[in-house]
Amino acid sequence: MEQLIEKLINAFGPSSKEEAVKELIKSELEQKVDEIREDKFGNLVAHVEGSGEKLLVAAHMDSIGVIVTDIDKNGFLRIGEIGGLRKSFLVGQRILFENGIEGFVYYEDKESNWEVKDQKIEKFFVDIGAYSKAKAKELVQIGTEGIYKPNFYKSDRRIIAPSLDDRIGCAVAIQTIKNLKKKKIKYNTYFVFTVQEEVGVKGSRTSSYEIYPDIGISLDVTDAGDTPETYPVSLNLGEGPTIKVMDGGMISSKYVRDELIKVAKKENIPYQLEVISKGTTDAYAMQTTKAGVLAGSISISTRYIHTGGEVADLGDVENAVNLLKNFIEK
Amino acid sequence: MENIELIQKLSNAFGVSGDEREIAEILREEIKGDVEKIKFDAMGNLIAMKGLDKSGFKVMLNAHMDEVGLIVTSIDEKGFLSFKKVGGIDDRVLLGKRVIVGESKIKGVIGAKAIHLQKKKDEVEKTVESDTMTIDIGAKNKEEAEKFAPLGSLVAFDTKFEKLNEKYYIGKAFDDRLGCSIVANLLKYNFNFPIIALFSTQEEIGLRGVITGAYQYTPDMSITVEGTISADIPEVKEHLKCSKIGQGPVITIKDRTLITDHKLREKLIYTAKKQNIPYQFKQVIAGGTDSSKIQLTKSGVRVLTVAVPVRYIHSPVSLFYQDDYENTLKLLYEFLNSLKEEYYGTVN
Repeated sequence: MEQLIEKLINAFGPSSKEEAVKELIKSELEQKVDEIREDKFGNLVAHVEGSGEKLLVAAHMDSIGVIVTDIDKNGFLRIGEIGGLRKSFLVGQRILFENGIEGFVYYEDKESNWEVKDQKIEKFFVDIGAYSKAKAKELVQIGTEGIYKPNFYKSDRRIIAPSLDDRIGCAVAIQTIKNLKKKKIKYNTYFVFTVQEEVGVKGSRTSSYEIYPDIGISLDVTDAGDTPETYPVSLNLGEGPTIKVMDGGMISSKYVRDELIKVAKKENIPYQLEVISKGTTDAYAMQTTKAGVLAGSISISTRYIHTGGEVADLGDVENAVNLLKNFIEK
Repeated sequence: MENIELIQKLSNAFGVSGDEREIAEILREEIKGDVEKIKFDAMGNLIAMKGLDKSGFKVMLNAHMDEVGLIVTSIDEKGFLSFKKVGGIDDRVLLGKRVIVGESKIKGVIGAKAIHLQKKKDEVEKTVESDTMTIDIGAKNKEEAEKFAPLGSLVAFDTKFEKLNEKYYIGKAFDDRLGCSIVANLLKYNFNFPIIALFSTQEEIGLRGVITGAYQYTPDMSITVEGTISADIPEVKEHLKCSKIGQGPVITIKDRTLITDHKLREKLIYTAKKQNIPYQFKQVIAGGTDSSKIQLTKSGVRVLTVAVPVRYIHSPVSLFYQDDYENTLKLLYEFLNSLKEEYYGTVN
């Protein structure tokens, strides 16, 4: 499992440039599913046939990132945001661009404050070690996207890495597919690895329209409330995957929530009920598609989301796989 | 310059979000001989279709008809009109401006306190907020004002289109009447695929008209044609200018609401290079256009956004440069002309 997560973390894939992640997932699943295809918006759809109701399980492939907006006369880059970047965590980060070029984020410091005072992205720039505009333009162009440079670490149980949001959800989906027993499958299941979630839950919107499932479940990360002096959230690493009740965009359909709880109890899988007020997932777009979809979400409680060092618990990931597998099977 | 009469007519016409009828009528008249079908939908969108007998992917060309303006929200005993803004306008560009009130076409001025009466220094330096401004239409009292400007009347800037010199033009609402005129012009040509032109309403107040238009007439790919921010004025830093006058059509990679289709954009840039047409990228991630709504219609649409750079958009007077306009039109024509079945038929 951790090797799979590490491979996913190392794949380049900010919103709209998810190809490397897509290729990796395709190679993992090609032999394991009835059909795998790309839809016209770029989502990767893996179909696992079943005779029952139509189920859509979504995990997004894209990560947050940056995009080059300007190259100045000395070869410094100006950048814009891809997704909900947290600006105070951006300065001092190593950025990896799509073509392998790396850079370091610094800021305009006219007053020699030694610390970042003005956290507006237009005050930041990236140094890619270019000594002129012409040289920089050989390395990157306006529109080139970058990510927090992948850096995977595992302690005995926990992972520290950027982009756990949402490669960890992709890993849960992949591992679930691998673990499913063909004969026991209840739902006619479409695993959709979505694009452009971080820039407005887009891939899920179009694929939910196309597939129009009866039930939709997103796999994503969610908050953690177990760090020192933190904003109170009743979610802790290592206490099981979360079953979403509410987030900033959705109140889960009661049917999905109750079914997931039923499965968890029956199989003795630890879980936590998730009630948060900010942020949302692919399930938000599913729920309001056409005449509506019963939507819910399984999440992995994760610390420091949208920074270069997200932390999650491997036990939660394994239990999420177990929960989803048992939900899909008879 | 080609199209200049149409641009002039469109710029001078009244079309604040919510009442785009004048603009739609000018466009309908302009395109009626060039298209096979013209429709209006419930949101007031003007939709024209051409080449319906052709197979292959449907291509949408989109521009919004509405402009930013004001709406009358109350009238006091003396006949002064209070208002709210319709769309994004900087309060500081409002004071002392001439306006024209919707259906009655009555003229007015946004009143400002004379400089002589502003004794204290901080009073002069403070930005007056639009909530405290009023429009003076020269009414004697409330009753008279209500006759000409009942509550809910829409108000546009009273600006006449003008040629500044050989190649510069000024006027109001170049965002997005320039786009409207370009789409209308492109409808004169025959391409080898069906075309849907969506002239949308209520873009400036939240990309609204486009939602219904694109839902009913969903294309496979779409190009939104805009007049976009050019902040190439002295006080703005180089990397915040967004786009520059004279450097050609502005191609959006990412704005606040979407990332455009990478493959289509590469094809567009290839066309520009091949035809020797200058182009530039939108360099600040700001603003959003109808294309973000078209992109997410049904199971998804591949979209592009291309714009003429315009200085001082969303103000009483904006400015554009003739070559930028002509190059935008030319780039889009050449791009559409170069689309081949095998290219646009293959989605991925």
